[in-house]
Amino acid sequence: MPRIACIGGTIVILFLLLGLTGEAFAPYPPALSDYGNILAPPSPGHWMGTDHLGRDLFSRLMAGTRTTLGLALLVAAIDTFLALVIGALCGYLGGWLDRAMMRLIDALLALPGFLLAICLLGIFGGGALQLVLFLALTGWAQLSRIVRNEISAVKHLDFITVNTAFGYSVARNLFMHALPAVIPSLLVLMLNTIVGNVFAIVSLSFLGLGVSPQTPEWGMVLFDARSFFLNSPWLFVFPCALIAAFTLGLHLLADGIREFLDRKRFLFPIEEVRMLASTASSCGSDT
Amino acid sequence: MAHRLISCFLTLVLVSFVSFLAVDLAPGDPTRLLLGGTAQEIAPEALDRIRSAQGLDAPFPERYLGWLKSILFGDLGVSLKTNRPILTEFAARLPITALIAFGALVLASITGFVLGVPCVLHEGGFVDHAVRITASLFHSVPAFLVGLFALYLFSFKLELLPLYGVSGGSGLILPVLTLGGIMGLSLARVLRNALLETVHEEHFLAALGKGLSYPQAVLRHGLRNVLSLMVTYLAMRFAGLLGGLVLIETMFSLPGMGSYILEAISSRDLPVIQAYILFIGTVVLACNLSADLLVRWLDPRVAKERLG
Repeated sequence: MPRIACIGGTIVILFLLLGLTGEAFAPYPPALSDYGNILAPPSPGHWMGTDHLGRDLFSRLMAGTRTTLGLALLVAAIDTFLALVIGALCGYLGGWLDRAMMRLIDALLALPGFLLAICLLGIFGGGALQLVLFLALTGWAQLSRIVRNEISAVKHLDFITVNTAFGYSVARNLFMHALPAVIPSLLVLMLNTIVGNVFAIVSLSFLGLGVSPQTPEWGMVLFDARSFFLNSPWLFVFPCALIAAFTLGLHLLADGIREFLDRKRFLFPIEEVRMLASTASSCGSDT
Repeated sequence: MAHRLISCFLTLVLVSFVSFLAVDLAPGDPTRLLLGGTAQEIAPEALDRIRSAQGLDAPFPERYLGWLKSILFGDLGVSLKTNRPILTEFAARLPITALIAFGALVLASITGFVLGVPCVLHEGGFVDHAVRITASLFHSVPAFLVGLFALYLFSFKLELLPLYGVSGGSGLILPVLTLGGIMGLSLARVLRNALLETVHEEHFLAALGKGLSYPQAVLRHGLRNVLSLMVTYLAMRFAGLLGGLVLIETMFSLPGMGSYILEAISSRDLPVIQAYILFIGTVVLACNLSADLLVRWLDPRVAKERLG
C-alpha cells in the first residue's frame, strides 16, 4: 500500500474512534455554560476557548464528531447501497428499466443536490432524519449512474461472455463477476462522497436547516457562532481545522487507494470517474 | 441534436413535476398559508369558498397542468410574503448572483490555464507541488469557510474591502475570488492530469519530432485536445457553484437569489420555493446543453462519434 494511504487511513480511523468515544475526551459536558467565561479565547482551562454562552468549544466539537461523521457515513452507506442495486440492475439488464431510471437520474442531476436538499428541508422542516433522507435522495443518482456505466462496460468484456457460455445465470454473473469488477472505482468515489456529505451537513447546519439546535454538531457550532466570528476567530478556526483534518485524511486515503489500484491496473474506464477522482473534490464540495 | 433537445425537454418536465409534487406534499393547509395570520378568524365555510375560488381543491393533475400553463405564459405565481409576482422578485435578485457566478467561471478558467500549464511544463517542479498542495488545502473545507477566512483577513483585519453588502461592486470581489479561486485550482489539476496524458499520444510525439519545442507543442497541440474536457468539467462543477452561492451570499450578506431562497424558506413562501427549483433546473439544463454545443464545436470528433 502507498504511504499516503496509510497516513490517510490512520487519520480517518482516529476520527472514527473520536466519533465513537468523543464525549470521553471532552473535559466539560457540551451544553454546560460557564457564564464567567463568555467568548473567552483559548486558555489552559478551555483549550479552544468558549462560545457566546460560555460553553467549552473543545467539548462541543468532540461531542459533535459523532453526529457529523455518523450522519455523513449513514448517507454514504445508503447512497452506495442504492447505487449498487440500481446501477447494477440497470447496467446489466438494460432495456426499459434502464431507460426510465436514467431519465429519472438525469432529472435529479439537473437539480443541484445541495440546493434541492435546502429546498426540501425548507419545505418539510429540518432534523437529523430529514437530513439523512434528503441528502440520500439527492446523492444516489450520480453514484448509480457511474456504477451503471461501469457495469454496462464490463458486461461486454470477454470473461463475462465466457461465463455466459458456461451457462452461468444472470444473477451469478452479475453479483459474483461483474459487480466485483466495479467495486474498486466505487470505493474511491465513496470516500469522496463522504467528504461531500460532511460538507453538505456542515453547510446545511450553518444555514440553520440541519439537525436540531440542541444537538452538538460541527456545523451547528459554526451556526451558533455566526454573529461572533470576527471578534472571536477561534470560533471558526478550530471547527475549520477539524473539518480540514478529516477531509485531508479521506483525500489521502482515496488518493492512496487510487494509486494502488492504478498500479494493479484496476483502471477507471469511464471518463466521469477519472475526472471525479482526479480532483481533490467531487460531489457537493463547492458548498 | 434533436434527440438531445427532446431529452432535455423531458427532463425539464420531470423537474417541474418534482418541484410541484414536493410543495404539494408539504405539511400544512395551502389555503391557510395563503391567508397568513388572518386564517384564524375566518369561518370554515368561508375557508372552503376561498379554497374552491383559488382552485386549491381541484385534483392534483388539474392543478399541476394549470401551474405548467401559467408558467408557459411567463407567470411564475405570486409570492405569499410580498404579494408581488415571483418573476419580478427573481429579476431583482438575479443580477448579483449572475455576476458572481459569471465572474467565478471566468476567474476559474483563467486561473486554471495560468496555473495548469506550468504544472505540465515543469512536471514535479515547484509550481506543480504548490498547486497540488494549495488545491487540496482549499478543498479541505466547504467554500463558505474559505470565504469566511477571506472576509476575516481582508475586510476585518486589513479593512481593504467591505464587510457586508454590495457597496458599489467592491463587495462582490471576495465572493468571486473565493468561488473562482477554488474552482480554478481544481481546474488546474484536471488540466494538468489531462495534458500529461495527451503528451504521450502519437500526434503529440509527431509534433515534437517535427521540431517544436516541448512548451510550443503543449500550447499548440496539447491544449487544443483538452479544451473540450475543460468545458465539460466546468459545466459539471456549475451546479455545485450554484449551491455554494447560497452560502457565500449568506456569508457576505448579499441580496442575491441564494439569500432570497433562504428568506422564502424561513417565511414558508412555498410558491417561491416551487418556482426556484424549476428555475435552477432550467439554468443547469441550459448550462449543460450549451456546454455540449461548445464541446461539439471545440472537438469535431465528438459530433462524429455521436452521429455514427
